[in-house]
Amino acid sequence: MNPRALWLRAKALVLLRRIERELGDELDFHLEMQARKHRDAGVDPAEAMRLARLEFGNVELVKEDARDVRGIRPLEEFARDVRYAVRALRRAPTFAIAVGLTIGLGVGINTSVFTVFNAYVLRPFDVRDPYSLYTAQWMDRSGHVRDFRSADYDALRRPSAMISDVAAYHPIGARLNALAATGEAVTENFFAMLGVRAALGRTFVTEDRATAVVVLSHAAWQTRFGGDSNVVGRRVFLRGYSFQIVGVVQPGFGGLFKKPRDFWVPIGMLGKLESAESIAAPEEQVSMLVRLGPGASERQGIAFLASALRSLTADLPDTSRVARALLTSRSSAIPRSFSSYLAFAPLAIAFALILMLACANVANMLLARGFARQRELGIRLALGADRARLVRQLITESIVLALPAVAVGFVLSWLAVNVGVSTLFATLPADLAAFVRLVPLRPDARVAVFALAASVVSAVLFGLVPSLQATRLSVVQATRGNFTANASPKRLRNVLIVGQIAVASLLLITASVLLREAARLGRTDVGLRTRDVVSIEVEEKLRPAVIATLVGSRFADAIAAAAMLPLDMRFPIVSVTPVGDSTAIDVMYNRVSRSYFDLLKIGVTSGRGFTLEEEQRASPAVIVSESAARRLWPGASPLGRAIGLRLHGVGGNQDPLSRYQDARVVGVARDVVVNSVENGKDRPVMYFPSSIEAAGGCCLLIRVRGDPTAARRELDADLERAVPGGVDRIDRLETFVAGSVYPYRVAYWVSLTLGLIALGLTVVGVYGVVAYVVSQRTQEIGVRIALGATTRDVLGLVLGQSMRHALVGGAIGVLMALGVARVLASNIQSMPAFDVVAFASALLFVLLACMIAAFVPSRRAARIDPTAALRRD
Amino acid sequence: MTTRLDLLQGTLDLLILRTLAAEERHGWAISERIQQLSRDVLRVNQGSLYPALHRLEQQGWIESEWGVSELGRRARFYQLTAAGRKQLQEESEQWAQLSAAIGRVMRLA
Repeated sequence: MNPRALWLRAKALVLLRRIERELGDELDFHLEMQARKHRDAGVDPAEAMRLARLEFGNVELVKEDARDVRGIRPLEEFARDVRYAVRALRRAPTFAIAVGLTIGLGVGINTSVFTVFNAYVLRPFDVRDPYSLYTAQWMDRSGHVRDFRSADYDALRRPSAMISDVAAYHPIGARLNALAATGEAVTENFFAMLGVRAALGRTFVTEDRATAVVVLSHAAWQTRFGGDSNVVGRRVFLRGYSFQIVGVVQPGFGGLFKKPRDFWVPIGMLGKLESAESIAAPEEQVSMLVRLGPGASERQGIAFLASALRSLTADLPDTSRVARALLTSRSSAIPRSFSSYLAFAPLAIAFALILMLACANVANMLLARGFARQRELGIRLALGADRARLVRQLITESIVLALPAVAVGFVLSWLAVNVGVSTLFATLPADLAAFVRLVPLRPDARVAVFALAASVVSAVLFGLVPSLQATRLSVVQATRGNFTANASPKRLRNVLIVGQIAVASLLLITASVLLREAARLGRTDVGLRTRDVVSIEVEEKLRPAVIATLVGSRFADAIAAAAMLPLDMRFPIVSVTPVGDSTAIDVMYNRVSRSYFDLLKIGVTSGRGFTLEEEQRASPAVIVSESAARRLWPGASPLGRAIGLRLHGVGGNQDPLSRYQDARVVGVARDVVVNSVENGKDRPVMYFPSSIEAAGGCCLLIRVRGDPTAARRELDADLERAVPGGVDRIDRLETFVAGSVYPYRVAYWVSLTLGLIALGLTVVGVYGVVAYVVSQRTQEIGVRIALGATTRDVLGLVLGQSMRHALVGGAIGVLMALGVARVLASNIQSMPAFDVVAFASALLFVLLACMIAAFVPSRRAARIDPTAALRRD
Repeated sequence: MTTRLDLLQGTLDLLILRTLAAEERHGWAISERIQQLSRDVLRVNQGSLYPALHRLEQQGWIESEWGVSELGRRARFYQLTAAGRKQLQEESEQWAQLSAAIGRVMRLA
């Protein structure tokens, strides 16, 4: 249909009455002209009109044809169907409410997922032209993705048609007034480039490039400073430096990333805030935000950037030169891409299944109603009604039924999102909650449209099948008054029930598998002493001051240092070749002080720990984990053996380890969990010596005296007094264990909630169907009882069928759950591929629930009074 | 009285477009004009005229406007659009070819 026809049709919809009137006027005019012609020829006026009408033919038929041409008729019929449906539903309010709530529930929980998806993926940032914003990166010839040098910024800033604006940025995780915060160092044009204004004070100006000023996010201003309007001009501490607050940005702006930022500082301050050693490659410390010029495509932008980078990297060694440029969209928190859609897919499918269940329940209700309306439909078919027309009418009724679900769903999703967020923050380990920031999850027009679309789609889903079924009956039968013979929606209903039981089983088995995994991980012995250990991430320059404070603290019992924080950070990789061997093995490594093993109770099972001398000189001595020893020297003692070392990555030359080509094994340490609990304990690890005072490590580990939570708080307060803003993070080591189990707990709770809702819907469905079947077969059962059937026989008759449904549905659910479990197990090391206990317990639960749901109405069947039943009809 | 012929399938659209080529007309005037020019041979079936007009409008070849008729009554006037003019051009050529071809077959066969 061309746009013009569409426009005319839309106009027809709005101006239905007027168009109808105009059509009447037009035809009247024609008749009148014709009559006048006859009168002019001398015919008597009354006769003239009659003649004109005679010539014209059936006016209504012409109108009908004209309407068809304009596509008005379907609309007219639709309006009539809607009126009819509303009238019919007013007569059955309980039914209408039941459908509204059932579909509303399904739509609501799907809308809440969509709210999150919308907030992260679909909703563009509230900045000027977000769709032209990209983060630029590049890949060198050895395949490493790289950022830019500060100097590149000026080169890229030169005006061009392809790139209209550039800003440099670098994230900073530092504490703002002793509370965890995430910020960014940005070039002074950052806010102007994005069109972001200040709500209070100002954003950055050119003179700010290297001054100690800070701009706060609106959210941070509200939460950290209570929305105090006198905040501009006050000073805050960031990593021991005092910064002056110059402004607060407009509400809702938190940068262009998944995690909203709390503050921004000029990029010239980066050198002061970040110490060179803590960055993988200090010559590449900034990320580049580019705005493509008007009309420039992503592909053109990449080509332009690649050519600019060729000259920028011309002075580098061959393998470090540019291979290709990369652009990542910054229009929304998670760039819209196939992979981000894919990441949401499992969640979307699980939630969509619930909506399908709700649809199945309503379809069952409609099937029962369709049966009740068979007489009406039969008569209409007999009178010559078009079957397509009847199906259209029944679907219109479904849509009318589903419309209240839009409102129910919208409200429900808003509630679910709010409850979900507050539950998230309430159940997160307290130390981690301080680091979690969510983008605002408010519903908008897109969310409303989604709720509407989901409702209409479900209406068509639950309405189509029953209406096809209900209109299938033949005219011959209908005229004979036989409304039951062919119309047997039994098979369809059975399919729906089996499907429901299958989905409920799938979701509950998945919940059960995840619950057992979370419990297993919670019980896992990480092999490290975590209970009374506090970890501190500290900036290099402030390290001596922090250590001095710790040494003097009455809460600190012992101190150790590590380049990487165990249980939290991803350890770097070194390629290891045992001397006399040619195969290299990649092994994770850490640099630790000699007190590390004792403090964390990692036993050195053979050989020895590091000596003071090794630690101070960072000697090429190495302690290997038991699993590393097994991998490298199977069945032989590793002690005293030499290994060749080769570092990976761009930042390799910054690592103190790069001074050595080889190292000698001095000891073997027990296997422990390295980063995440689910990775297990048997990952090969190597430890190299480094002193507590030495530069190049992020973390200090302190064994504390007394109650660990109180001790952490006291240490924090002491450090804040002595070295304001000098600590980036201070946590109990247990927090990280809890943190790595937490996602499983969330997954478990989500799938349990879904599973229980699914089971609830299924139970209602089973109950409804059995109750319906009992009411349909009252006569038959009455006859059976009259002929001597016992209560047991009747119960068996009714329950037997439900049992078969439950078993078939359960079996299908188990098969699907096996697939899900296999996928989960292939991604999570500690998860078994088939957890019999989890499967069996969840399945038993579902079967039991179905049995109870079927038992209640079937008892009614057993109590049927045969004389009363036979008297019916 | 002359013999009256029913219109050939599909030719009504062409005739409507042609009658509107010179000036805008209302429905009755279109049917009168066709009848008059064909010397009463062609009679437009009223039942198909209005649906045809509405269909042509839907296709964007003509557009309508309410105006005042020569006798002072409110009437709906139709006129050709640019697309309609092009369509008329094409259909006229096709018609000329078709009638010439049929004429030749009738003469020579």
